[in-house]
Amino acid sequence: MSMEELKPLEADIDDLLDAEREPLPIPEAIGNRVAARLGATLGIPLAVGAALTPAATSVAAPAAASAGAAASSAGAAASSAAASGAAGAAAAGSILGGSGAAIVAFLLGAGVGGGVGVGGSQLLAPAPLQVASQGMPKVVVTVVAAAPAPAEPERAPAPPPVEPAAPAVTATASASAAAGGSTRDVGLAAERALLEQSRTALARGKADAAIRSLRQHAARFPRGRLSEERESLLIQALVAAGKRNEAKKRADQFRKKSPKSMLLPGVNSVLENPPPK
Amino acid sequence: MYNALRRFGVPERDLEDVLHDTFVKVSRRLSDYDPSRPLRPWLAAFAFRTASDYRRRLQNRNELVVLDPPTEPDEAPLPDELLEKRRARALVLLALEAVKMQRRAVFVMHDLDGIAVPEIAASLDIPLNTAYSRLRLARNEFTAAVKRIQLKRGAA
Repeated sequence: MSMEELKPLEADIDDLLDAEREPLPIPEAIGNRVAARLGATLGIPLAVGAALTPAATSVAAPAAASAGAAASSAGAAASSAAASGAAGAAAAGSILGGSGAAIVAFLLGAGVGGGVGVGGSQLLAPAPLQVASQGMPKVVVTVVAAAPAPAEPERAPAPPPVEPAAPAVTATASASAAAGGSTRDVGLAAERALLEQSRTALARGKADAAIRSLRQHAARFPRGRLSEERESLLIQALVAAGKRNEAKKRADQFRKKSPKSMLLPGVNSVLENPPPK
Repeated sequence: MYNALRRFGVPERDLEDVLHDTFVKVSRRLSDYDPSRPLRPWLAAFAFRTASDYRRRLQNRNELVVLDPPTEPDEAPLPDELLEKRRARALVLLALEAVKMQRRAVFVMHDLDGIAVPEIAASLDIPLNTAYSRLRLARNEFTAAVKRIQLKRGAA
């Protein structure tokens, strides 16, 4: 079999495929959640209020928590040579303009099927991104007041307390991976909705409201499939609310209970580098 | 990436999870990426592998894959036009289900994403001839599936 023997597609089939060739933009809510989870998983504090650029949609969309600012920083994230803090991003960083933000934006938005190029209409840019990897160059970042817990790049890198700060992503399948594809989707959807609520609250700077819905989650789903995510969010929210002691206690429990959690680097990072007041 | 996963048969309700997992995998392997190679096939291969893993897990649970085509975003064109487009998309995804995963990967990457066959072969680590033969078979299967579905709809 070779190229010569490959017959072209039938015209009507080709036409049909045309409808699907134009990539669908990623739904804003999904993009936001994935960006937020990714930030937590990889230990890169990505802000929650990511938004779609530029003409794509509505500022009115409920998920666009930090709408205005996010819209402007989306462009900034794409074009600026932000610190490439993503784990081992050097290789991809160089081709993508050296921007950690752009990489994630690229992966989420453009990526496969969207054509290469950051800045496509369905690009999803994580809004404010601050990278606090040790020894990494620290450059740009657009700060949004409502940002949930961006690490502080100016701070001198302190030695990590227990776990290494480098994204220790070792588990083969994440908790959410195990969750995906299960049959109990109603429960999962309810869990997710609660966490989403608190994530949004956190992004808006309403740490207390976030803590409330997280406690609600804990009460309803003590062994929920997203309990790791809940704990990680709760720790972030507690730090944001100024309850560092409780946050620390929770973090210690978290480390004991889920030493291999992919969310752990994020938890560590928020405790080491609390958000600027 | 989102679109790649859809096309590899990840239903809407699980796209978020699978998308997340794919990115985690990509981020762990970023250092393996050879910048002299094009990026898209490399990423598409990740999407394919993650989607395949996902489907295996799904099958282990004996769960039916329910296709749930995503809804279009705002800025709606004329409703008729929109409807037709949505139907066409749904038909493509449905017919894709008739194509075995390995072949589907080559087909999606080539005929939807426009990636050259040699690049696909390299990213999936398969011989070039295998890639071509998978593409040919996939096209046949896809075409047959489309016709079958259209026939059924016409009869209904």
